[in-house]
Amino acid sequence: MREKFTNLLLIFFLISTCVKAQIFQKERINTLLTVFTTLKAHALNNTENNNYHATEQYTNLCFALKKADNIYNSIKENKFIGVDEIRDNRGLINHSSFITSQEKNFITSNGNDKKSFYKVNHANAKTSQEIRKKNKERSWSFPPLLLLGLFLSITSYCIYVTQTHQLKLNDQLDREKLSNQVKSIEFENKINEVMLASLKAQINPHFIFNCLNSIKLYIEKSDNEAASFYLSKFSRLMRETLDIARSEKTSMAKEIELIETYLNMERMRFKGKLAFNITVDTTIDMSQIEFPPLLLQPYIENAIWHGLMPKPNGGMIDIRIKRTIDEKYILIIITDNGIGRVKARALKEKSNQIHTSHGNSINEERIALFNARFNANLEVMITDLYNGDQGEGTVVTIKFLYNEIFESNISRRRV
Amino acid sequence: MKYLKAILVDDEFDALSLLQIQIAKYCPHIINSVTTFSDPEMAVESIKQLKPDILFLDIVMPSMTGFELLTQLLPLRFPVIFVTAYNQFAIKAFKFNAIDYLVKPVDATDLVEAVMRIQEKKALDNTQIDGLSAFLKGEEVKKMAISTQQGVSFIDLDQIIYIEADSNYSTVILISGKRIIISKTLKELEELLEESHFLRIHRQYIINLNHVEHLDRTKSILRMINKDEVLVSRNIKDKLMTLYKWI
Repeated sequence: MREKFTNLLLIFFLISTCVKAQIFQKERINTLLTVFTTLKAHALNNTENNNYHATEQYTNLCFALKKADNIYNSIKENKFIGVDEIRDNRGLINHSSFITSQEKNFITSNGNDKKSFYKVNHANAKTSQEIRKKNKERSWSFPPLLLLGLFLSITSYCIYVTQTHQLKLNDQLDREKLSNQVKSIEFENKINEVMLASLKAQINPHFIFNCLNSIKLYIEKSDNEAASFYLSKFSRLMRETLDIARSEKTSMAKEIELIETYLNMERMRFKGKLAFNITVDTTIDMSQIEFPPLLLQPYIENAIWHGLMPKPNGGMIDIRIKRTIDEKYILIIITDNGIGRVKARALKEKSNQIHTSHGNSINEERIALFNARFNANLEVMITDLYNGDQGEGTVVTIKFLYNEIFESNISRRRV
Repeated sequence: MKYLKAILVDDEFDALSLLQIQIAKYCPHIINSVTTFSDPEMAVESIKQLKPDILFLDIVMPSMTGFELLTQLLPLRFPVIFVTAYNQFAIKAFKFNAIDYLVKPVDATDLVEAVMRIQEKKALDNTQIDGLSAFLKGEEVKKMAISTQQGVSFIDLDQIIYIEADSNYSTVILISGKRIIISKTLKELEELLEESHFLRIHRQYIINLNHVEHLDRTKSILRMINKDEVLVSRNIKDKLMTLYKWI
């Protein structure tokens, strides 16, 4: 805005200077023409009155004319003089040189052609007057033209400015569109990445092969019933994991079912070291609540692996699903009575373990993405339980609005 | 023939039971005594007292890893067979250090083979343990262990000029001029060496990138520092150029 304004000011200043200079030039030329005629008339009078002093006076006159010529030349060199003026003024110079030669003739012929000289001179004065008049007219005709020019330049400038502004706007719009597209693609990629990562975290190869190992034990022990039971559970877990990982959201009912299957498998692996309990508020219709798939499993795996298993006798996992007192939110509370996060971290650091669980950081990313994508407000809070100074378990609380149907805010291509 | 005394350490009861059953079933003529531990800490003390002939050791356990357990038992007086459910990284470390390992669920044939091998073997070499821990700590690997009939020998990676394929064997050419034939395919070696300064430049060759002398671009022949000439695949040539930032 400021730039535009200064541009306008500059243009205006230039134009006004031009106008001023033109007017000033005209005045100088007019003054000069007056000087010329006065001088000539004076010279004529002098010669008429006193022939005898002619030589001296003519020398003076010629000197004066020369001076005038010099002034004239300096004006002529001024750049602001228009082409027309130069031409006119050239004519004037020719006139003046004509006059001088006439006057010289007059000196030599000793005033024989006084009358004709006067006539010429008179005509000369007349021409000067005409020129003066013409110039006067022209100087008056200039302001409208200049105003027109000024108007045109301002208009064109305005058009230019608005057009460039429009172009800039279009450009900006295009760029915004493009960046939005890029953003949505990036977002999609991010979703796919996180989904893949969570799928990998869910189907922890270590878990898979240990499950298979356990099933193999039942076969070796010829415990056909147990082998068959766990093989079916394992197949179901694998199938549901694969199915669920392909969708963006699932029902709470399905998610809890999956967790139950998972916990059953883990219980098979860890025998008496693992117990679990799942309680759901009767007022909650789990099939009607939407939830990001595979979100709970990493928290539970962490609880088992880092909380319960380092304890010689293992422990218990309690999963409680209920509504807040104001009934606005649903809470999923996962409690373990393991060694607590502080001890678990110390163990991890001490052992420099290869098996590091990235479950939590992946989950944080997933929740952030889910919230961004569905305008949801899923929150996770992890707190430590203490028995005196001793860590005694961890609580993971997941909170979200009750009966929230998550509508995507981005149309997504199915891959 | 003397029977062997084995100790099994795994945090999962099922894994212990299964391996115990499998040993009794498939190696009754070699191992006659099996003691199992699900708590690594308890295992450390018992191993010191029991002095086993063979240790089957899980890697990933909640309170302590198998590697940690071993460091508490140094110097080792018995051979170790690692048992892991899934740990590609550890497996690579074992391969590099010629350490025996089994994957869960354990295949009977693999188990028998590993136990047969172990009979002839002595305790894990200190160099093997050092190499293993260096590998697991992500330190630069300097030596590669090679299993031979006499035992385990170590090759300094910097000493290798190139490796040539020979069907199921590979010939390692060293700076000293020595040639070592090892019973690993070039593919296996490529997997092991790909993170070090080695490059497979041809179906037949893996070279040490630090021991290259000259590349004949038109003939696609690479001259190594011992003046041996090796062929370069056409598609590898460009990669080689960028590796050396040649124009």
